[in-house]
Amino acid sequence: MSDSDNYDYEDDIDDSKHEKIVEDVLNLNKIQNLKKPSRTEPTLKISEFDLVKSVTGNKGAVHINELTKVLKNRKLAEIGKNVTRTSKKATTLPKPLEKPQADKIRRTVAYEKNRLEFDRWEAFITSNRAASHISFPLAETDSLTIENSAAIPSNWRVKSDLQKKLEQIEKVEVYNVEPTSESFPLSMEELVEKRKESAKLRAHQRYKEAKARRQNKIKSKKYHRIQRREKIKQQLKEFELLQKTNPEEALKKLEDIERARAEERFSLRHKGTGQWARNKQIRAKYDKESRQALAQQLTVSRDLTQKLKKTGDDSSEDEGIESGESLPATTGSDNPWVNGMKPEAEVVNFVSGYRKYWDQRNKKLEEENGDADDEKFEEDTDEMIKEFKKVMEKSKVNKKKKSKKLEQKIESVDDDENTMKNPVNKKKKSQKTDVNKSLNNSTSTSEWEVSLIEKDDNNEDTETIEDIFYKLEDKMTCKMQNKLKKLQKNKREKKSTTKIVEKKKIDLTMKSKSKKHIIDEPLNENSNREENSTSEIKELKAILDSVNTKESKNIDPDKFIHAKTTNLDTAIPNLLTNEDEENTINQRDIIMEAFEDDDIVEDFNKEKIEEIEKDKPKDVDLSLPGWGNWGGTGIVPSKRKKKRFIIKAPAKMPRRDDNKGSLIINENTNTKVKEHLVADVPFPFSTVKDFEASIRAPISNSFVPETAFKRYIEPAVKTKMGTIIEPVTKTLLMGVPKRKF
Amino acid sequence: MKVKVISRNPDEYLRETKHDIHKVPRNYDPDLHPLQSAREYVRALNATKLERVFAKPFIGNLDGHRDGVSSLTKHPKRLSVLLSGAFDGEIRVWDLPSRDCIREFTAHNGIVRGISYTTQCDHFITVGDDKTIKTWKASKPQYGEEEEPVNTVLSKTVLTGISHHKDKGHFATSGEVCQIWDETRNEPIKTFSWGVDSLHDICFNPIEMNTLATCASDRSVILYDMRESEPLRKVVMKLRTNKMAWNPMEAYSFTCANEDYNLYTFDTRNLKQPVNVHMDHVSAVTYVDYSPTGKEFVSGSYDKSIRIFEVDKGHSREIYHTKRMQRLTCVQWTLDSKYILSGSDEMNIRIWKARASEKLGPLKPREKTALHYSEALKEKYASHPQIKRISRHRNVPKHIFNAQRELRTIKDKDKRREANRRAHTKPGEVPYVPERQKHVLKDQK
Repeated sequence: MSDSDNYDYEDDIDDSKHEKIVEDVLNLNKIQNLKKPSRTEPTLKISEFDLVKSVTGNKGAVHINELTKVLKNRKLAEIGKNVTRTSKKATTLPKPLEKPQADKIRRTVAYEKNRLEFDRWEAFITSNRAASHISFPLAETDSLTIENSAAIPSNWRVKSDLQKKLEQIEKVEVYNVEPTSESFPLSMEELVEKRKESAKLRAHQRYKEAKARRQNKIKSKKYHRIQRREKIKQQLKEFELLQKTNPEEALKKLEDIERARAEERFSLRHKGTGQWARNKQIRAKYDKESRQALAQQLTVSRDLTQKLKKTGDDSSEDEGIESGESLPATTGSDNPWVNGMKPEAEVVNFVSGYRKYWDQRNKKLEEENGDADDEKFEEDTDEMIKEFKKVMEKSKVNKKKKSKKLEQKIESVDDDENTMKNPVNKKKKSQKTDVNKSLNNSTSTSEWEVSLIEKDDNNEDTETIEDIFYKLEDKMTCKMQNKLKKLQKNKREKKSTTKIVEKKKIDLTMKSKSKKHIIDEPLNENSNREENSTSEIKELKAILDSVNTKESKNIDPDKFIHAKTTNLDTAIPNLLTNEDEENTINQRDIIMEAFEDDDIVEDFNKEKIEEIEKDKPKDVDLSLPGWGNWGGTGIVPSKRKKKRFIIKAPAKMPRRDDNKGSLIINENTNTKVKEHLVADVPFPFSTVKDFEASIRAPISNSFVPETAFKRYIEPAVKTKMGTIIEPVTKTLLMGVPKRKF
Repeated sequence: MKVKVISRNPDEYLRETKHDIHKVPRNYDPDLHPLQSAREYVRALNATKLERVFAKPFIGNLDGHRDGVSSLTKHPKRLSVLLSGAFDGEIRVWDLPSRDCIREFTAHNGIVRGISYTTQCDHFITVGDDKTIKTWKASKPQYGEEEEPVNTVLSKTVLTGISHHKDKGHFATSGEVCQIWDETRNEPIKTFSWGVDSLHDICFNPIEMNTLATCASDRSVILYDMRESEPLRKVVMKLRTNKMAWNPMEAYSFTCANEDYNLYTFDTRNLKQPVNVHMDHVSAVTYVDYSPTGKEFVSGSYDKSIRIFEVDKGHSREIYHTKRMQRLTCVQWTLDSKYILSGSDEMNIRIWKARASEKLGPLKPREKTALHYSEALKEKYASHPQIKRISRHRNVPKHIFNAQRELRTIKDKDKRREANRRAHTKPGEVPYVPERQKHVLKDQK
């Protein structure tokens, strides 16, 4: 009852309110469907609070299976089957990477991309850093208009017919560069230009191909040989050029050459083992031409298997050469410092040739002891001499490139049969230095100069040829080992340098043209109120310190004798030290004669004592008379004060002329100059010579002509007054477009 | 009678106009001038002394702010205009030649954190501690008009700095995150975040304009590319970087002013170690700005001094200080590379010469030549002890001097300690670590 009553009671309530309550209650059970927030502002970032479940929910999603179910038609049912088949085959994709990892990868990729963009600036920045003069604001390329000067007057001059025709034949290029907006990838003009360029390239390529085909058809061996030789020459030239300009590339090229050499060494080409060579060998006995051909073949092989020698051009080496010049020529073939050495192949050839000859000769001597072998020997020697001549010629060609040469003079065997039995070879080596060599860094091969000289009959040398050659061989092997070691060392060094180079991405470092002092030190900062002790006390303190330290050490006089003086060798000749002893003796005699009557020794001693007395450091009295005491005349300051305020100088100072009886050394003569002199070679300079030269060259217009003066005083950085210096722009990186249509 | 007279052609000894240099016949044979280098040395010494005599870098100050100066901004197109914001939210526009304040208004509640001109220079944008980004007209309001921002954007996050793109209508703000904004929109178009640490400085690269960098409070400097969705890289240093500046002539190098009294120049392509460490300050470095020539930069420090560094040197070439100048909050190098502007805690903006002894104003050609000549001489004899001593001598305030001495003793102590340790351990145990490798903790990918 009560329920119904209640109900009745509720019936009275306002309808609208009731409806609202009902709706609210109903809504309690439902999933809240929020409206998606609509936004006027397009953004990439979607707030997590804005994420709303889709209205349809999971239930509402459409699946493919459901779609295919609808297809009842027989033909279309096939599609449904296909779909199920593929869905069976399909595998789920792997789980995506964890977010931190994925982010990391994205970051690295982005960074690398960015880095490449920065790398483009390397050349510009390096050149800017190395430039000795820069004027700001920098000239921008996009505001630049280059017009051929020839074209300008022609704009306002009546052209003759001939002129017009000529112009048609050779068109004058006009650069007219205007700022191009970056936003468009390629304008119409650029497209046309690009197309034309590519067409031109293609045509060129076709032409080259045709040419190559034509050339390949040529059968003439001579032509090909010449062609090949030219090619090799060209390559060598390029290599030399590369060595100067781009040593890194040159190193690579050198490796290629080395490889080619190695291939040549292990192949049998040019070795004289082929059919052709054997035929020639048979013929060589009687035919001069074939002999020459054979020899040429051998030289080819030698050329190809020679080791390229690299020589540095450091200043240190320079000095070494200079010093070598002054040294007497050493005769030692066992001197490891002798740079010049015959390359392996050549020496071996030479030695083995003679050995062969000697063996043959011995054999024949045993067999016949006749005349026939003599002829053969003669021929053999002839050949050898020719070979030597060739070597000599070659070495002459290489002469400029060589630093040190060993000259071997071999005395030729006389035609005479009798003397032939004890042919005497005398070798003589002398070092030569070629100054040119140090300047151009180049490759050289053989360092032996073999020259042919007339034999003198009355030679006393009785050594047999065999002994000489054994000795020679020993020396050669010794040298070669040394050389090998050196080469290996070099190679290792090279490798290490290349590794370093490879590690760095771009290295465009260049030497700045003018050497500037680089002083990277903190400023010498003082406070105004810093207590400045008087210079006298400072000096005295310095003296005391030095004395104390000296005394504390046990000085070994031997050490002083052996100690090397660090002489920073100047270019100015030291005239004082170049006095001859004889001169001094003579002078002494003269002086003795002149002052025979005077007692100069006594005078001198007196003078020395005076000098020593004068140079002695004096006590510094810091006491203030009248400070804490009575002052005035006749008042003696107390002992305690004396002790405290008088800084005592050391009783005896070590002097340089202490033990040198008749000599006064005045160490204080140029103290005033000393403080103006540079103690060490400042940083960018490596040698005293360089630094001195830089100081000695005047820049003032009272010593150099006005034009030079202007050049010298040009400031490193120039700015224009009242002009804004804008940061550089990318237009600087992109050169000027080639042509304008 | 024959009278012999000396007759000379006046063309040989008379100059054509009084503006020409005197015609002096000279014989340049070096044998006739045995004292060439000695004379030049004396001239160099005199030039050096004169340089120090004329070294009066302070030009003047701009007073008017009622609180410390928090930020300074140069007009990118005009040399005479300077904007300054203060800790009380006031912004002032200065006319530098007349040293007058031409406009003043309160822009923000709280500190003005950053000001930046738009590309067209017709507006400037300010950010403040009230989390708003306000755009203002660059020109003074007409008579009767109120000082009102053209646009106000309420940011969701705290803002600490602003930097405008050089060409496009974009700008970037730092705060909790790094945000890229479009001038025409009220929402950031891009947001970068790496970790949770807040950022306190932001700077667009003026050359590769898509790159920007921020300094974070986790002691790191973070690089971004505007086009990417993620930051590029992060360098974590031993102490916090307060401010960074890009070199306007070298796309990939930037310099950071660090809390550890040093400045570090980095190459963005190799962040493992700085290219150079610039020491000399004796307290945290708060600000750094490049000379537009890219050869030098200026730094302001908490030690109440301004120092000028050359990019490739580890020590400063100049120190500026005055008795009344307090902690530096911002320093700017003007765009004609002639002046330095500094704002400090004690409400003043000071104008300095970038080269202390430079003569201002136009120079006559002969004057210019003479100055260039003395400059060349100084350079030639730079390493001579007396010249070095005179040219590098500076008087510094006592507190800097004492702090320096203290730092030196600390450094010496460390060195000695390390040497001792090295001497008493197995060789190789205590490696020699170059100074440049000591300050970077990691190069985070």
